Amino acid sequence: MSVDVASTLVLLILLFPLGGAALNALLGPRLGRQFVNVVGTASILASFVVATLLLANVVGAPSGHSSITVRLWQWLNLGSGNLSVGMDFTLDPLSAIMAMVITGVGFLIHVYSVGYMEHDEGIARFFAYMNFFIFSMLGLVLAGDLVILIIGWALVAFSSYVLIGFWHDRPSAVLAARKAFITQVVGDVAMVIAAFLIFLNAHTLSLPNVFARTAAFPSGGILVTGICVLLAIGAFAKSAQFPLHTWLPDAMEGPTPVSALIHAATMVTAGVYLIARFHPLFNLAPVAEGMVACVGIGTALMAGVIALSQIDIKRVIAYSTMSQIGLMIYAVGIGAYSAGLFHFAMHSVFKALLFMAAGNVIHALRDEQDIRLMGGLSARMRWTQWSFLSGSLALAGIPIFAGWFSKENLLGFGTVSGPGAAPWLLYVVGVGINVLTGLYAFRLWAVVFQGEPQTARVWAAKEARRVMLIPVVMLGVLSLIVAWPLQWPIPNAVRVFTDFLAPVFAAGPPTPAAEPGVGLATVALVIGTLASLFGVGLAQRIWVRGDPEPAALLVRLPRGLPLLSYNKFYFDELYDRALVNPTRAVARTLRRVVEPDIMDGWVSGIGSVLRGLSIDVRSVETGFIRDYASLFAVFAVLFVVITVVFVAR
Amino acid sequence: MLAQAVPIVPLVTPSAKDLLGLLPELILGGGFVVLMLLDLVVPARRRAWLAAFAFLFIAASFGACMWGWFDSGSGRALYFGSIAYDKYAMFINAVLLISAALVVIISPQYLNRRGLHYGEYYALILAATTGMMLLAGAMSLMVIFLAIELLSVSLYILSGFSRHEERSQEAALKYLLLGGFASGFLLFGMALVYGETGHTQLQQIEAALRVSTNVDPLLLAGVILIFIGLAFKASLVPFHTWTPDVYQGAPTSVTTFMSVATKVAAFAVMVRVFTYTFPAVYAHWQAIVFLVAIASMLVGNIAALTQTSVKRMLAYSGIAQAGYILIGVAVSPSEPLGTIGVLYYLAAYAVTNIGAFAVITVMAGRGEDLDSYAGLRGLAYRRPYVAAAMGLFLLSLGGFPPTAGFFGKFFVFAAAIKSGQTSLALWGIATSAVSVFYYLRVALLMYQRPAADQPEYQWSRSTFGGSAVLLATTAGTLVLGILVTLVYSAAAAAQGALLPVAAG
Repeated sequence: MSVDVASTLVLLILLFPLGGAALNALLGPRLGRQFVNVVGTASILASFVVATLLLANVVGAPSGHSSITVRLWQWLNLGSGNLSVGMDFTLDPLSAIMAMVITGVGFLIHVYSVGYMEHDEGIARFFAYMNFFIFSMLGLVLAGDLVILIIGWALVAFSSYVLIGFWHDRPSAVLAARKAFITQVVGDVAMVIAAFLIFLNAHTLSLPNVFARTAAFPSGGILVTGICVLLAIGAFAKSAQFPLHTWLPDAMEGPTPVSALIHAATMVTAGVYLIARFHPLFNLAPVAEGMVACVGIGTALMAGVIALSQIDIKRVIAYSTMSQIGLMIYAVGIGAYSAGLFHFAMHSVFKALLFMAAGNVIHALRDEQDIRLMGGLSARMRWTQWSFLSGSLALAGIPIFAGWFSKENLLGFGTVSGPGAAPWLLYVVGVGINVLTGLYAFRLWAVVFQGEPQTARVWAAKEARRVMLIPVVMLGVLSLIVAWPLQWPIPNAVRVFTDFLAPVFAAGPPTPAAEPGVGLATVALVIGTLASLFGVGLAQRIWVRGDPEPAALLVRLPRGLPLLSYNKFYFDELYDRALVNPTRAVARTLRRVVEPDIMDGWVSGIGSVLRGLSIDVRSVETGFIRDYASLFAVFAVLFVVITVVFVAR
Repeated sequence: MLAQAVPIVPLVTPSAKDLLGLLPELILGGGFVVLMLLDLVVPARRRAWLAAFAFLFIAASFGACMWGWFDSGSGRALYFGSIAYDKYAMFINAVLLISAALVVIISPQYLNRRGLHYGEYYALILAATTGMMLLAGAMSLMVIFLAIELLSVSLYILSGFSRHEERSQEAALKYLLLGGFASGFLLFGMALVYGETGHTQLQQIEAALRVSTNVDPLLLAGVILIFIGLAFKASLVPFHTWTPDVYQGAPTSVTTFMSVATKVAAFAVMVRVFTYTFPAVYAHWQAIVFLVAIASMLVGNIAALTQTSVKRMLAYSGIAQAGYILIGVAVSPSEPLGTIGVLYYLAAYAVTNIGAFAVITVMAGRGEDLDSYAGLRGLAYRRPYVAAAMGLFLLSLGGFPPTAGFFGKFFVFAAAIKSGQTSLALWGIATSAVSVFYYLRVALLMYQRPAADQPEYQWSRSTFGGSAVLLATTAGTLVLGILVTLVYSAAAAAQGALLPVAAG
């Protein structure tokens, strides 16, 4: 791929969504809904076409030349050895796959939004934000310079903020948006500190150069470990991993297409991308890698348990997202980068589907999200039901559905790689998560679509309109077939995906995780599949056949467990107690005690001092020329005297 | 060092090369004469034609500048060392001409509405610009003085252009009297420097200072007095007192021009004189420049906090911005980033500030100027694009990336840090934080719903010209913030070919 072709593609893929955002923001309110719908979706479609060309170019590149970094222009340059930032973008298999998923799934979600937001007044604003999000996200994954990456990283957080708070007259939405943004900023700060450390040691922020100068980072040293931990904190904030995970469920306050696009398919997986992109550094920091793997699997387990007892349809899916991303983070933490990314790609397909199908349900029930008030929808929303089922099967990892390929492939690596002395320990937890996933996925499906209708609204429910149904059905079909030609969970079978990404991860010091042998992989596959089937079967028994009744089962469990799950392990309460309340208490004390006495002389004091100063300074402005002239003369004499008498000596 | 006998230079007529080098100024000066004559024949209703002619002359002069940029190469002196023909002058000329062109485009509509559409307006703008361009290239104390007078006299008339308004008359008188006062200081300083070195030409002054070993107090007094004279033009504290009164009193289109172009020209000559002619006595003048920079940042920003007049707020903001630009002069002359930073800042300040003033010029209604804060309330709901543009200009003035203003500040602060004057950068950053308060207060006001009981200001519809200027300044603000190297490399080239050093 020549530099010219690459730069053209990069420019186009970024400019289409940016242009769409600008058109929608500037002209949308004037030209109306039709215009906004067309511009909003067409810009992403155009971007998707460019992404396809980009992928074709990367696939068609001769081996060894599949990665190229183009500089659109030099942004700033303070001389050699000093700060130099270029508008650099990297095209390689990794960014090509990310771009394909973002624009492809993104396009379907945009189409879906046309139907979902059809009664909303702020449609122009909505599509402007959505297009801008796609632009930011593409900037993030294509970035070839750490500064550009951080800019994309921050813009993505901004788009997420405005979209969660899209209905800004709802206090809960505004609070959720704020919570998400504040959590993101914690990650941003960590990222920026990591960038400083990288620059101090490698003297460059251009990613290819940083990765070429890994010699600057002694393997296993405190420096590279620190950098990787900081990067991981950034990744955890973005990907809603423990302990920065509490914002994701609240983010469901945004419109459902936003949940599908940002909080399932794309933005929340940026952390996985970040760690995969920085694999040359992570490979040098086994401690950081181990930490990442443990946090990933721990979050996956915790979120799976929480998902079992939630009653809000979107929150169940949100926790399932958190759990699945935990698995991806675990994968990249043990060095199984391509397995993690494959699960990302499959996950965005079936999770976007689940969210949009849930959106259809919510729409049909006129904004009802409590699953206890649903039930029996399968007869009324047949297409949605089948698609939802396909997505749930994929999520649960049932054979020949997409999730089976990616999750079993991922867990297969877990049998041979992992942190510390007992690498298989985390794998065992992973098998447990398989059971959990089957349980919560089919609990949701059963409670929403099976059984008797619980409220009158269900009787009135109708199937969604075509514009909302077609993307859902398309993704439903994809959830079944998309993985077939790409990657099988057995070594030496179909492995197009892994081979495609191999050049990215082959480069750099210590190679990533070893693949399990055929025998071990087969055993792992059988165990994992059985675990998933067991989970689904159990869910069938409990929630469809009612044997035992869920309520009866609840009594038999130890009392703490359901409470723990229902209350999300009390993390919100913990953070309220440990962070929010003390801060508030301190603030209250300050307001009551310190502020009247001391702060009046300080914080508000600075203001009033400045204000007073401002008036003092202005009082020079008498308006009289004689005053101005004498002031002038006095200072002129003073300056000459100072210079001649004091400085000259 | 005593004054030496000056060798008598035989009188030689300037060569064709000298004339060609002065082409941009000649075109504009010729334009001044032509416009004065045209005013006699153009009917009063068709005065907008004069604007078109003025624009043509400016464009032609700009073309000559572009040619001069490539032709001047590494720079040479014209007229026996009195005028510099170098990339530095061409860079400044380009900024000045673009500013003048933007002002000329927004003027007809504004002047018509205010009933001030007299023909000499455009001629005076051209005359002032000619003076500024001469100042940018001046290489002799005499040329500096003449150029300053040329631009000042034109501006005195322009600030009193609203003939029936007392405030405008008062502004003109203040500017005239204080300007004359400041010129006295400038001239006295020049006389002292001449007395010490025996030269009026910068090249020779620089050479004389370089070889002399002892520093005479009278020379220092001269240097400081020259600085004071230029600081008045650049409206630096404590010689800024005229600024808010004159900016507020003058017609808004004139303020637009004055606030940008005068500052550009004053800093252009200040860099050439101080950083490149007086580097030998840097240790002596540094302290005062340092003080003035900090004082300007503090006073400008603090005084702007409690303004309720947009023009006065922008006047104080301009004083503060001048303080930031002065950082580039205060850093060690051996640090090229200082001069590059000044050039970048001037370009950024020109587009941003013209944009901000253009908004209140273009939106001004029939009666009063759009000046009080209350007049901006709710602008975003009636004129969303104009309000968005104004918001961008305010962000740029406050120094937010990715706008022009951020990189202006970035480069001068970087220069200060690189030359070891971190405290200057810290003062700059701290006062920038203060400035955000008053910039964003105006932005907030535009996005506030107008109070029910208060009548809205009757904003004008923007004409084609007004919209074009707003579009151009918006684009400029963004381009200078995103395609940074475009102007940066030009500024670096200009710094590289700067007389008198380059010709050394």
